Amino acid sequence: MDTLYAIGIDLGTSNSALALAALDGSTPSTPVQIVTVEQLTSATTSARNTTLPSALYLCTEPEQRSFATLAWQEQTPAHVIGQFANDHGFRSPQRLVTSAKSWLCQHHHDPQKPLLPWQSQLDNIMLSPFEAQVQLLRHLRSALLDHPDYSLNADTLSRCKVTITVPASFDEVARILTAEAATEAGWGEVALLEEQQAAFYHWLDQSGEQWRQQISAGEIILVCDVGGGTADFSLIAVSDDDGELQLERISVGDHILLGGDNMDLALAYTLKAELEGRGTKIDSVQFSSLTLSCRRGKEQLFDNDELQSYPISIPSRGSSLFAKTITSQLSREQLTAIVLEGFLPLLSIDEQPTQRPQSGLQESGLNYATDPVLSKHLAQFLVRSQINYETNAALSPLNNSTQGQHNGLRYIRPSAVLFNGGVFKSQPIRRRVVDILQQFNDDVPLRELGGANFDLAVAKGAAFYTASITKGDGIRIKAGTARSYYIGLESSMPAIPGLIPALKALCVVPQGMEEGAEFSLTKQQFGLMTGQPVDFRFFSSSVRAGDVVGDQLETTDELEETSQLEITLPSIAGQPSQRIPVTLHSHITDLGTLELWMQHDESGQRWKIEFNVRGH
Amino acid sequence: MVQFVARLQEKGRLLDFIMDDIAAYDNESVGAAARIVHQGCCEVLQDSFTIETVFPGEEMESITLADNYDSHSYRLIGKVPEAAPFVGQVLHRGWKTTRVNLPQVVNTAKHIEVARSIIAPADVEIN
Repeated sequence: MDTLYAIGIDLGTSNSALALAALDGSTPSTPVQIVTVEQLTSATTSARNTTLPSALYLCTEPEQRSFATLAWQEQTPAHVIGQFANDHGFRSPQRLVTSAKSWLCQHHHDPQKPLLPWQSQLDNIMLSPFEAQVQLLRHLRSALLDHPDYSLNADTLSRCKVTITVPASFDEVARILTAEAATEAGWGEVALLEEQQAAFYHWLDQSGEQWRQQISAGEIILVCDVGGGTADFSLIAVSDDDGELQLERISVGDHILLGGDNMDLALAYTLKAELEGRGTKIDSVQFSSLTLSCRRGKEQLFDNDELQSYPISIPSRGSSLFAKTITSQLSREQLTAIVLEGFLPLLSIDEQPTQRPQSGLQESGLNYATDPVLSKHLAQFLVRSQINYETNAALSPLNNSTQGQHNGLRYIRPSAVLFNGGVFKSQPIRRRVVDILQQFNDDVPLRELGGANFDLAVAKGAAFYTASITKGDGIRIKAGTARSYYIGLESSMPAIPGLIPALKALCVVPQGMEEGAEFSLTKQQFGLMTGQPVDFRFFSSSVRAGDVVGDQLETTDELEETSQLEITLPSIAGQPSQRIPVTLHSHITDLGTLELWMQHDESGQRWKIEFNVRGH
Repeated sequence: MVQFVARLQEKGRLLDFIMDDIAAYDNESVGAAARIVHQGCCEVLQDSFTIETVFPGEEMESITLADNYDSHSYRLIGKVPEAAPFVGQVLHRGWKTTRVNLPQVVNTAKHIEVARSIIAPADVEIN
């Protein structure tokens, strides 16, 4: 009999990974394994590595003719993916696509337009962020099919269960695009799982049956996930239901484009300024080398308390290493001042991220965090989580000890933290985050949950989750949609010259709506134009847990605009365009994607509303 | 093999280090260059192998080897008797790898030929 697998895909901003567990039905749980991914390591060699850098290099035509092909490729594709893409592409940044994932949740650009490499002048070969994700997913699929350890073919793979992880902060458009990219890459229908939950599932898997001894009812666990370029926070509440521990994800943070790479860059800029002060100039390739050395220095100094400084050598561009090597060093004082005091200072909970005043003109690239202080983003998240919690009595009840108050500001006080992301390999950084949280908690101690695997936890956790839901065993984190969603409604009011009618917001999906759930708004009918495309504005919020379907908000000021929705209803035969009465229905599929439908009750016909993600 | 040297050059500038005239430079310049070689080559070795010491203890510890000792793992030197027990001190702990993951040359005639000769291409920058 063919072996089928539960597969977890961590499609990361900087690195991707693949994990699986055999679904043979007989054993309760087979261990989750990482699938190594074959990729080019140079123009002529390949290797199987545990991660695939999420980088695409767009080859020139001669390169396409000369670069090696991987086993599953008949000819060199127009792009190289993975380690060689990174190593080769950093010398020609115009041809290197990185962080494509972050563009999926940018509201100013259409992720299906060829935008990448950003600001490149190679108009005709550029890729859309969506296409870049498709390519990465296709590479992972081919590497799995070709892997000698698993005799999978297209048919057996199509019968496997596949889960892709997405940041908890991804909105519905970014989630749907990820699922569509997977389908286009040949993975078929995939389920979606929040990365921060996947990291928690990995912890559950690692702890085995012991997890019930490690956490107890009434606790709130912070999943603190800081990757190369992003930071994401989630809260998981533990409650007691008839003697059984229940887990519920009660809050997710915003997608913050701030991570470990920012720390390395900050160190490198400091050393570059020192070098320039001594009259030594370095070019952009040497700066990349300096940044890499700063990362090593950061890791080494944090690993070894006795080391006072880390010497750094920057190689020359030419072959003369002895004569032209530039030297510098990273001192412990600089490291502490920049990484710990700069990004992670000990602060009071009421210090929130500063928003720089918006200048009239802004470069419209990725929406990077304007405040680099992670402590402030963490404080903001805990305050917003409390606001969200207070809007909904149905969320797991919280102990007094997990709610704090400071000068009238209320916030959640987690009792334990689970770390994820490469930054947290350094123990002093974990220690500092624990100290920050303890300071928020008025010095009440806070535990770090052990057993983390900072790079591979998400892929492994996703495979473990997929295996346990397929077999129907194991605990599930109650979650549902992380946000509530709204459709913009134009108020019906008499036209007044010069006054645009205010936009109201109608809740169509409440926060926490679970897979398989359906809601119908049958009490209200809307007039919908037939025979021509009609646009809707679509909004979301992560702090309005109390809103239920049908609730109307008078303004959209507190909501985030997510996308536009589009629907075209055919005209009724022989009749001109006209308005017909419809009702709204929302549905979360079993795979975790949102669908909106309009139904004409008289005829019983339904039409699906498409997410129209063009930039606006 | 050539491709492994190519990795050591790419990441650790090993050939630049070896092929230059070391006698013409002072220790400080050589030391600075050595850090680049150390950092880069270390990374390549760690990617390709999992390196451990053969003898798990410290150097200068005493050791007794029986008749059936593994002669690939332990090399007996000095006044070696005819038969066991072999009692001595560990001068050098030795090295071994518990994993080998070398880059594979992609298997086409053209690439094998290139892979056997080019260690590092010449860099040409276009502005």
